[in-house]
Amino acid sequence: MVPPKHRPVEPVQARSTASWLAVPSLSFQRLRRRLGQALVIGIPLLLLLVFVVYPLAAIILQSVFPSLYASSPSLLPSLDALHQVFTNPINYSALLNSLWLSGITALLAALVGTFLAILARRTDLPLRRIMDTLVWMVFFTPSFLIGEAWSLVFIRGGIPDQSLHFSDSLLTWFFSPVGVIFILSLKTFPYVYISVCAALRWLGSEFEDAARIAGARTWRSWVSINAPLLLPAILAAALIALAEALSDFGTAATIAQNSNVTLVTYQIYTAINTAPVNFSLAAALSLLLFLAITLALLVQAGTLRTRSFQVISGRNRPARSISLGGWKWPATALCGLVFLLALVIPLGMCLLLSLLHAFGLGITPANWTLDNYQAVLTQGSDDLAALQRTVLLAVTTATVVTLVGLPIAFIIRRTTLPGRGLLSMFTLVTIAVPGIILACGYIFAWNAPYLQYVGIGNNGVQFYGTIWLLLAAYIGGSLPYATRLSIGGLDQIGSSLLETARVQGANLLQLLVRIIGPILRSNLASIWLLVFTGSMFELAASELLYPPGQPTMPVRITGLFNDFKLGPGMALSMLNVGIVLLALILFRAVPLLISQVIQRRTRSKTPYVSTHQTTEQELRVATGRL
Amino acid sequence: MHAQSDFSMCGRRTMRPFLIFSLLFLLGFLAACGGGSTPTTSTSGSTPSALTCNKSSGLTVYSAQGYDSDATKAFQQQTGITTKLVDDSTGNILAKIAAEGSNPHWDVAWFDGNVTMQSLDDQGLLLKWHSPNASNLTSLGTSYVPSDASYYPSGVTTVGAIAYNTKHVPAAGLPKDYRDLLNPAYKNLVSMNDPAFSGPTYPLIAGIAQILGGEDQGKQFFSQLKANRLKIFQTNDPTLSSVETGAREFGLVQDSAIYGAIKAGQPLGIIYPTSGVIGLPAVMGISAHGQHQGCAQQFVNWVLSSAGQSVMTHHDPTDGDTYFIPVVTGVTPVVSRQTSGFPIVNLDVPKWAGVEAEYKQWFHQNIVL
Repeated sequence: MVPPKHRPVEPVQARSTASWLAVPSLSFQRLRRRLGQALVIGIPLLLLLVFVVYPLAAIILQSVFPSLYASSPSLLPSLDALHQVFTNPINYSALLNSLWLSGITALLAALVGTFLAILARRTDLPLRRIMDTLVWMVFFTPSFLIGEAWSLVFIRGGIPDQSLHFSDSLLTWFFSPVGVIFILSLKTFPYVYISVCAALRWLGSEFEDAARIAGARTWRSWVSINAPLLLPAILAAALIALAEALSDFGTAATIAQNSNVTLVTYQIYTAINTAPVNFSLAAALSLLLFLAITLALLVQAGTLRTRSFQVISGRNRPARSISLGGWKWPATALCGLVFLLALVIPLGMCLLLSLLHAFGLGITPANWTLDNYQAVLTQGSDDLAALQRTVLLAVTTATVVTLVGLPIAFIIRRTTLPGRGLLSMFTLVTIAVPGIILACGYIFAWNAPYLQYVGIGNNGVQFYGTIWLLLAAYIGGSLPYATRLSIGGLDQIGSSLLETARVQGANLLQLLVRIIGPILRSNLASIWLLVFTGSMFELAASELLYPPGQPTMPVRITGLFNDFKLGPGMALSMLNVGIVLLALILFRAVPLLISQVIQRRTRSKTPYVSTHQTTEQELRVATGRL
Repeated sequence: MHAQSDFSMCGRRTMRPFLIFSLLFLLGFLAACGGGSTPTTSTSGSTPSALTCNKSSGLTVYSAQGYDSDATKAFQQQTGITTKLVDDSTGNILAKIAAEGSNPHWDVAWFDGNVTMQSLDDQGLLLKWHSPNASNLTSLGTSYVPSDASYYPSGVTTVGAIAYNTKHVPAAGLPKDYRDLLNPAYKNLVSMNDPAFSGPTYPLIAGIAQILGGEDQGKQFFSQLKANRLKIFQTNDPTLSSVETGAREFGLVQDSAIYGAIKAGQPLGIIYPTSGVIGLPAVMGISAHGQHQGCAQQFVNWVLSSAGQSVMTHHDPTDGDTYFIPVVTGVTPVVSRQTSGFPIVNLDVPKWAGVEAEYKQWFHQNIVL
């Protein structure tokens, strides 16, 4: 683990990029190269600006300029909303509640993720070979389904309750922040798992051996030496878990509604969903979430500043597997429990409900049915069109975001462009903003009256209300994730490799397309899949932005839930989950086949992997392991 | 090195990746802008004559009604007017309408609750117009048309009816009015929805306050109900589920939802409190700044006609929204429900629209939490 300041290669890298950007003469060759650089750097930045920064600014600025998009727009500043936010004590307690709830969630996710990662990579645990696949499946299961399913598991008089007769205290315990933390950490531990798996690749057994020689037992050497060395990787992923938990609204609303806890997202939601709608208040409240993320980033930076986490010396020894001995079966049981809770029970519950007539009637022979599936399938054209639309959107989003995320990551990590640090922080902040805020920002930004005077055609830019805006919102929503994932992959590539390429005359574009791209291809494929599945279940933006008459699949699913048609809603969800699983299987199978073919042709080629790895999102290096 | 060898294999073709990359981005971006720039309407700029309707550009309906999909499809089929639907929750529809502001993409808004619709009118977002089919309305229906004629009711459901589980009637018998729910014998038995999530529940808490004499009396009543261990669920569905499974005995919900659940075979009964239930009209408003007001007026007129009403009454009987009380003369429900024999209280709309945010926040702080 090498924090940025310990990387001796950074200045070299910076200089080389600077020289790329400095063009002395204007021969045709150089002009083309310069144009290429402008495109490679400019277009992704432009997309980020247009699809993320501009819409987010459109709503956040209203916290100070409430009349920015009023019928008679004005730049008249007003501190009313901020005043309202910071003088109402409820908002302080909401901020505190949001902080501790997401803090504990991140902590739990870190514990579970690290534990599973170590078991999977460094022990002889029987489950270790299928662990990656299971974790990916958890990643792909939409959180609104997990929340809905768990609340139905624990509902008084529900199917499990009919035979298990839950005690009151158990139910009170579950329908409280405890349940929210439980579900959110089940949903976010995969980030930590993937990050730590990647870090473990570089952590040899030499420190452990030293500790053992000094008399420490295996578990002691892990707890007091290896675990702290993994801290940067754990913290980086825990930050994403924290940001996700901060922006959560649905889970808390379903599970902990009656508990004595108001969250920031609840305050935001009521400002937006109650007539008269108060956007400037919602925007001002969102600033609280920015505050929370900034605090978390400071804590992270403070923790990492205390010591060096350098482990990569160029003489790393291979890691040894630990034999679990008598602990083998308890550890397996514990892993099994995690996946039982995160996958088997929620998905099983959904599947069960999709096969029942009426939830209240319980499991009786007469209650089994395929009617729900028949109903959604024969409803036919509408659902099929929605499905096609969703798949098309998800494929396009995933492709664009994967291609654009890499150059942005490159800008953040491997150039000296001013503002790149801000860019990096911005990606995290965007994850912490609730989807509904971003979606409203899109409406303001792309339905603004001034757009009439911009662009082509009689009506100027008419972007809102078309499928393109939804696509833009999907791209904007997933670009921060893709960027942070790409950073992880990028950090693994040694600068010497890039230097060599440059000496041989490769330009920036060739570097990305011919060298970085191919090396990171499995990483990029994973990002593609992650974004694809995320878009298949995207709800917040879809609900507010779908073009009239053209709903997406998740919109139809929640429409069924809203109309109290639980069975058909679950059936449609299961069909959607099935499609995503199919994509997962295809993605596992195809690269495997390709790599077998390649391996047969060239035995000795091994992809170069650097010995330099930084803290932050080493991450999804492991994404590559999909 | 793998990548290196790849590189040298096609080292001379420096132009290709450049082309691929830039074309891809440019294509994507141009496609986005190009698609966006296609004219969506034929009448832009100058104010369109209010009564013309271009059948191909048609209209857009934002609706939270269960029968909206049936209705828009039937309207398009019968009139040839292209009708696009955005089906969403009332809260999201409000957010969308507010964010669209002076450049609206909606022509008709259709949801339950005249208090909410009135707040749109108060912001100047609704077209004031006289529907010729308003004469079809019953006297109950007419009572929901505001004096400035900015919206019209398409049907009425009520809130305040008490659902009870017929298999677990308590020894103390059934309550007859709201105040009976404070009886210690009903401790731990009563449930209702959260007004922050459930559209019909703000009219409920406003209406009970109005029946009891004012906002303060309402707050006092709900505080006492909470002391009697009232349980709050998010929406109609979980509240009714709790009554169906016997976890709770009574649920204060929208009556149409109860009828829908009874139809689905649930062991439920319905009590109409003697001091009355609160009328919750499904209302339709037309955008004041919309570009398809002619088509929008035709749509509203059609819903107020027997053709439109027939589509609504014949909607899926397992959907609670189908169980509305008709407000158009000559229309009878296809599904079975009680339509008379209980007093319907109409809310003082301006008053309750004015205190909505404050009352809801109070309810959240003091009753839900």
